[in-house]
Amino acid sequence: MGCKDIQELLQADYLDGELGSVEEKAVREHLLKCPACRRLEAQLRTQRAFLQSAKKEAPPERVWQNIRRAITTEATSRESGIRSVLERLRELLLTSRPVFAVATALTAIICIVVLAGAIILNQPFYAGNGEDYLAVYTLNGENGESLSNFETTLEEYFL
Amino acid sequence: MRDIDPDILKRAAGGDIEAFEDIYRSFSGFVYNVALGITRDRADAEEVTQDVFIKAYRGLKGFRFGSSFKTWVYRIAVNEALNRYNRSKKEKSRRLDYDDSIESQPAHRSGAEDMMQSDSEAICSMLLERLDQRQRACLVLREIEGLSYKEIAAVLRIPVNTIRSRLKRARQALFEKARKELTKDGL
Repeated sequence: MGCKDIQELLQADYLDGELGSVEEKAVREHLLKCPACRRLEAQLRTQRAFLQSAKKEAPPERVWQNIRRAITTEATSRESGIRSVLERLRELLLTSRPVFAVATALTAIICIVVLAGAIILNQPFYAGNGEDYLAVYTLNGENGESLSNFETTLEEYFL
Repeated sequence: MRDIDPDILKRAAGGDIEAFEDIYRSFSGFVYNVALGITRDRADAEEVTQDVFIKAYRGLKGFRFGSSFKTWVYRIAVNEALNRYNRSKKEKSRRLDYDDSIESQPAHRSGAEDMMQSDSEAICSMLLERLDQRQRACLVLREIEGLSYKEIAAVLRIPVNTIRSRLKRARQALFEKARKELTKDGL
């Protein structure tokens, strides 16, 4: 390796301890016989020492106090938000108000009527013998004549 | 870089504020110093630290416990610090100057030590401030926080070769700046 390659390595991997053992050995051997590269290495180490001399500091305690306050407030407001939604829903469902009471009663009546109607319409309302029953449902007379022609829709409806 | 105990993370994700304080105590030094290294401003570094941990708290519930928490926090820290630096740069105010640096030093050192520390901090700050922000982020993570290339690559989500070339360019640029400063001062 020539000086240029060595200087490239000095400015990154060698200085940062990222070189493999073979390359590191080659750089060290070069440094022993090359004053220019040795000078560069010394300058790089000085620069590093200078940057590392910057004192490490702990953040002031107020930073944690601010963070704690912020996340506590956030959690509290989220909880109270959920609670208020649930309370409003509960109030809406459980509090008896005239409008809701009337609406509920009407709904119940409509449901009963519809159910009763469905049951009645599905059941035979004519309690006769088996033949009469058949006659009613096939709309045929005893002698086979059709009973379907009643002329009026009202009669058709009731039969 | 030491990662945090997964039990503490789970407790914090469940809303345990004491567990979250443990996380804060473990990582706040790193976050604050990286923020300070990038923004070069204590007020900005404090705000960045606050924002990082509030974001981390919100994100804990969705955090995949298989991945590294510290890398995740460090990534948020670098991104927040770079964003804050760019905003502050536009405002052109609140920059840390030599006098601020002296005022914020602890009182237990001697006057001579204070001056030397302040001098080196002021010069270090001045040099770092003149670097490209991406180079500065790499240099801060490597020189000040001691992360390996692999760790920096994970934090910044860029290839190791890019880290290598940014560090190289940052060091060359620092030499150049220092040389110019010395020439300007007639040294």
